[in-house]
Amino acid sequence: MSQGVGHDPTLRRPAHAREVALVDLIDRLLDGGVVIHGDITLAVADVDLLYVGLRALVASVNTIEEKMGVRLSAHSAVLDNDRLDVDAFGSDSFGSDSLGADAFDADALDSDALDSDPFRPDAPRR
Amino acid sequence: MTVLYVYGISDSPNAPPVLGLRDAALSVSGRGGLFAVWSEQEDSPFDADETALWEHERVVEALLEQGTVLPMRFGSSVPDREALAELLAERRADFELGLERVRGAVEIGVRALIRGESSQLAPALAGADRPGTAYMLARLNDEKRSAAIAAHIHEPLIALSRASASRKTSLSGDVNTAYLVAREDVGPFRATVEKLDDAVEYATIVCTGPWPPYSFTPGESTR
Repeated sequence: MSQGVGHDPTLRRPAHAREVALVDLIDRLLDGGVVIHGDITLAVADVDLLYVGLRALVASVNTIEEKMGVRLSAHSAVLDNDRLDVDAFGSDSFGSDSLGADAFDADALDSDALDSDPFRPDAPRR
Repeated sequence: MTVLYVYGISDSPNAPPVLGLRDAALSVSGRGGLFAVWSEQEDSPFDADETALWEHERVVEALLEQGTVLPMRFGSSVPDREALAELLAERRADFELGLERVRGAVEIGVRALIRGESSQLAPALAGADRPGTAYMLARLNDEKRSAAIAAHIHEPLIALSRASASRKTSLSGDVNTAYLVAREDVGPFRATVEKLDDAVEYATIVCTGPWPPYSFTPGESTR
């Protein structure tokens, strides 16, 4: 793994593999990792927008699923407001804050947003 | 007014040879085998766009290359160096135990994506005039299939792993699990995923990674 584990070409292939990796990246960076007390520099509104983008990505990917033979799901712990289940270290050992999940309603996503670039939605920032 | 944006907790005193968020220079603070890698950022909200996520990830992956790392959640910052030193001191035992758990291992994400829509069959079973019953049957069927697939793939994969963390999916019946895998087992693990993908005809099984161990970090000490 001399060239960086995150860019292993056999695992991060272009096209759909990259999109799966992106969904997993968002899952991990926003719902995993060490959580510390104190101010979060990231605006929660921006997280909501990011998830709007994720939904849009998955919606747009629906159309190419059949061609690629891969289905994507964005139903992460954050989106569904479920807790992360951990079965080796005990669930109490791992935090799973649902950052901004309450404020985000997937059903509110209108069709215009689905047509935009997934990660730069045109929705106005709050 | 600036804050310290923190990327990860590491056992290495060296700054990784990459740049941080918005190409900021990286610094390292800590002592006694426990260090935090950070960069100075303006104390104002920034865009959580794809570029920023990969910039955070780039630093954590570089840390993984040179040692053991507990990644921070994206967007984590402390006011100043004093606060960072306090964090490292207060949670030293927590972090040291966490580093020990993930030493020599990486995280691999596995998704089982079920093919075919059981919801299309359900109306025939329940009768078209009973949509509520049809919905419940569809959900039950999805959950049963999901559970069957989860059990089938979990056994051979956990045998090659130190631990797993399952992210429940409530709508689609898909399986989404993170595995903590020793570096030397990554090859056999991936080969097993490919074998499972070939063997299970009603699901596509894919893996991503290796990732830093985002799903295997200690939680807040207060919880």
